[in-house]
Amino acid sequence: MAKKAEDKALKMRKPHKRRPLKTIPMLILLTAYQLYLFSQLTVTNIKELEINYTMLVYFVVFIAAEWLYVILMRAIAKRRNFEIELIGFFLTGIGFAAIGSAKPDGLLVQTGAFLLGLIGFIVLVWILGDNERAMKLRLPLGILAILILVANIFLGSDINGARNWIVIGNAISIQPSEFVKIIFVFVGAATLEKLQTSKNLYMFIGFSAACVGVLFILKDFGTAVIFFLTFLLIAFMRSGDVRTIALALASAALGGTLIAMFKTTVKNRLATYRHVWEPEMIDGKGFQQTRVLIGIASGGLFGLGLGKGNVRDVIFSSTDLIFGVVCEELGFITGMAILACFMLFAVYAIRNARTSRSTFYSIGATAAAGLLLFQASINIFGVTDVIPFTGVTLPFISRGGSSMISCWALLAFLKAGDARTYLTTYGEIKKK
Amino acid sequence: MKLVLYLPQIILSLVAIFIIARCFISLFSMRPAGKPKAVLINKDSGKKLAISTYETSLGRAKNCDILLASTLASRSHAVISRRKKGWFITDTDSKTGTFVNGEQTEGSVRIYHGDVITIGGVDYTFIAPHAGREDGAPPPVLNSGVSGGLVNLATNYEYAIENGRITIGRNENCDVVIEDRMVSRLHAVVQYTDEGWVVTDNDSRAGVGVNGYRIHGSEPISGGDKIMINTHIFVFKDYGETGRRDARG
Amino acid sequence: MKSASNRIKITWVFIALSLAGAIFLMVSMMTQGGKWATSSRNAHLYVNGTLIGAGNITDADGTILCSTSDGKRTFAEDSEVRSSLLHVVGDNYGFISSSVQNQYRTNLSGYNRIMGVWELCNYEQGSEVNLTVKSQACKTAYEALGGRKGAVCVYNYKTGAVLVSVSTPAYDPENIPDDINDNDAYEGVYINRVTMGLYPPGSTFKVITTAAAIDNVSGEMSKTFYCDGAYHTSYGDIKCMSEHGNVQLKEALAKSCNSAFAEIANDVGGKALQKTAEDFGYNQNISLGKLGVYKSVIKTAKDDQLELGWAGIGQSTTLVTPLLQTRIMGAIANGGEPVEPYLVQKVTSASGFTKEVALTKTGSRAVSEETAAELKSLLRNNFEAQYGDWHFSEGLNPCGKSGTAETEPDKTPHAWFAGFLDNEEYPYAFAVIVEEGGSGSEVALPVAAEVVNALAQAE
Repeated sequence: MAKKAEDKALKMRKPHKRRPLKTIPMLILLTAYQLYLFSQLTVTNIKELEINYTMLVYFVVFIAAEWLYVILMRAIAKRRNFEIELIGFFLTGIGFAAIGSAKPDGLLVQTGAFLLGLIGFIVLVWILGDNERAMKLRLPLGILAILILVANIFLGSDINGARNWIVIGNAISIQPSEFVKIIFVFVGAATLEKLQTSKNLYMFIGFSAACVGVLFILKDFGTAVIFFLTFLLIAFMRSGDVRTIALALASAALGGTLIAMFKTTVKNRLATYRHVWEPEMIDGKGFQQTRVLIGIASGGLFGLGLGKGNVRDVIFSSTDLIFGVVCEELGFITGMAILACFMLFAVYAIRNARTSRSTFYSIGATAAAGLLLFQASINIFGVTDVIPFTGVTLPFISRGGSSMISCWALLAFLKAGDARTYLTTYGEIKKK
Repeated sequence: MKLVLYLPQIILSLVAIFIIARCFISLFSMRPAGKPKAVLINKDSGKKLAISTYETSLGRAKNCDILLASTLASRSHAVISRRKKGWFITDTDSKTGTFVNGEQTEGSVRIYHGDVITIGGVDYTFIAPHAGREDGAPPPVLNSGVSGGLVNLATNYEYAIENGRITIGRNENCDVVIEDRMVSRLHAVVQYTDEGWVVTDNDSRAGVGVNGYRIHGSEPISGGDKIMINTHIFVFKDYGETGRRDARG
Repeated sequence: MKSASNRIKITWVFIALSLAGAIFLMVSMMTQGGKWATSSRNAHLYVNGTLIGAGNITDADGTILCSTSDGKRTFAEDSEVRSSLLHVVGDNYGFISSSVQNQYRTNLSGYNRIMGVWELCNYEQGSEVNLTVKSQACKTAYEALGGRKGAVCVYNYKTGAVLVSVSTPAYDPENIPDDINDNDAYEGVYINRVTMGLYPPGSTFKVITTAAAIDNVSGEMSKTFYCDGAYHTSYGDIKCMSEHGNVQLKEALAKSCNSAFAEIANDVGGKALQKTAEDFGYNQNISLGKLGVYKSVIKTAKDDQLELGWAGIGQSTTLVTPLLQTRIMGAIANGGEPVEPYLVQKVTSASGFTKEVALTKTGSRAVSEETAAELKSLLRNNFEAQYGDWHFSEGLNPCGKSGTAETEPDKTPHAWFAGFLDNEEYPYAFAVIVEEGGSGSEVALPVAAEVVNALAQAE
């Protein structure tokens, strides 16, 4: 009798349905997608087979790096799941295509940064594999972040109104705040043991205040907003205390008002908001937003084809306005798909929190996903006049070496949050 | 018709959506990893407190994973965590302190099977598999109390899993011997680990499937799951820690 | 672990905000995409400020009314056709705001919500707009108005297609007169009088009064009215053109006797009169595709005998557009049910997709079939007894009512004529107004007849 009942219970329970992604077929599809995109840019004349060889080299290196990464990780780290990296490759690929259309000169730096970013990703995933190792690194990294930002105040040069660049020699210019993003998430995440002590939270609040403060001095308003939002997210996850958040919000509101009063740029942006089509704005302060909106409408749902847009001729098209380039040339659907990626990363981080091996991973993954989502949202909605315009870049897509590296590093936090990444550590066969 | 030229644009968008959708569906339908298992036994009352997450907070506050009733315990008293090396306990600024085998802890302290942990004046015995001291005598392993079964669906024969581990393969030494050339010598292992039951593919040629899908490396399983070795299907049964089938019946 | 994983759910707030933004952006793109795409800053559409690839506008016979060549927007070949259809087709500068060129700019530019401006980029041409108007008949109407201010509107009361829509004063969009803003002859030149000109209906309103009488007062048809040259009330008199003596409704309508109709209006009552007028389209929004039509208004006084009398002969505060006049006639001709007029037959994208096609739509019934039949015979009688069929080509069976609408005491009244052909082959309803033209039957009727004859001949 008992056995029968048990058998029945067995049958009643539906087996867990899941289809793990087959990496190689998906990578082939992704490569085909990217090859088509890139061919539109490299083959300038089909009949006479004129090929832009310089661009071809960058694209070949990019695709080769994808394959090399997957093959190596399968062979060495025995990983079988690459969904997160595939989405990263997808986004980066669209970025390459859009930059190839808007500013082909930028591809050299972009390719180099992608390779560095991928290496950074591998290293960071390894570091995060042992959370004791990671916890030990927090303090030195936090100090490093502040040092980088302070160095930025003294060494930085003004580019486009913000002082957020350090130029080394004449060739290399880096954006320190991009690297501080990684450290910010790193320092923000803490294991449950550390979460329980309030001293730790205050240290983090102090660290955040220092970061945001320096960014204000640097006039890097957009990045400061992203840091602040990420701070709110981390602070809530760490304390769960609404009072802390209320205090932070109140101080932010006060600070925000002061900024609005004193900084003409901020004031101008608020004045432009929702008025971009007005005659005195359309070619002035609303120039970028209107051109992006015109581009989005012109592109329709499926786009006009790579290299056929007009947004690409607008200044900052490869950085701030890249969303307009993507929408005009690849279509609004692709543009929304990019935004969906960032939203789904955040959803994924939430879902993963329960099964995570440590709050370090769950907070790290959520903070990284949150930061990427904030930045993407502020960029996309800023250039389309849904919210006031703030000059931040679109993660993975916009041109910018420092940004590319930091995006891939942030992706490492999501990868570390994936319970399958380090599964072999625990589930190995112990040979008798 | 120039309109044909528009087709690639549509296909590109659809492929983009497909790639994203497929990747995220795979991410979301991912099986949660196995859970660590340890138990705290209240020495006085004999009451068991199960630890089933990698980090478990203990204290009087409602948001703690394990609620302590003792008035001497702080709101958030301590955290027991499973790390790569083993189990640790960390006192989180509690007022009355945390003691392991009578010694007050400072920072994180590694704990082993059988250790006595004192929190808020109450003694708990820590029970965890695979957490014995390397030097000392091997502790009574929790595994002995854990049992399961593999039912061959074709023959309906049930193989008992006695010591928290069963091997499947073509080799005669295996617990479950399958005479099939497609099956590797040591094909797969079903074992009880810190994360619970896990099936591991020993780099077999034909691979191992769980509920119809091929696994890579190790995969946590639970009672009722179907394990597929080539064409042979086994149903895994979990009889828990307390005993066997007859003990439940 | 439990509390941390619960707190992480705060992220949902940010995801929801982001989603809200995405939905807002999608909705904005769907609703305002056309505006964005057709902005003069869009380099896909405009080169050096000129619309480079706007599609053709053609009339019912396929004559090109407006096209783009070498980046320039040019109009019909014939100067008078250009002038006559100015208000329908529009100009190059957007002065004629209610025109097809302006209102269908998004379509003409080659933009559509799905493909953006892809078609324009690949065909170098926007969508084609086919109108229902007949350019030659419009030219005839323009000539018939002969420089006077006014409007002519003809539509097919069975399909709804507007065949003629001419408003004067007009100008040639390719040779804009220099004195356009100073010369009184061009007063109100940017207004399409067919859809936006609001005039007192004058005696043409007697048709509505008659309809109200048939439906609301029994025996009104056989009642005898006495006209001694005026309708007398305690507040004052309503003058009639002449002393008609004893008349019945039929004769009163043919002779347009004010005394009789002022009394009929009082027999009907203000409420019923207003109801009938509203059934015919007064105080209602009449549409003409995307093109704006002003609302014709009526407000009858409740108990004021004199005011009601004035209302009955169309001289109160009542105002009507020529388009509604045409539609009212169409309703009577079509058995009481008006067919909605339309001006744009079809919009075809450059790649051959039909994006918009006009369908015959019947509006809500104005009067019962019996009443419509009776009105038809009365209006037919007007021609038989009063105006004479000789204005029209043989066999067209015209029906109609003239009107002479007083505006200000010292000014010549507006001349109205509204009617239709009771003819299966030529189901035309029409209305003509000549501002300060004088007598309706002497001034407006010949214009109407000339246009309708030209239309019938061209068929």
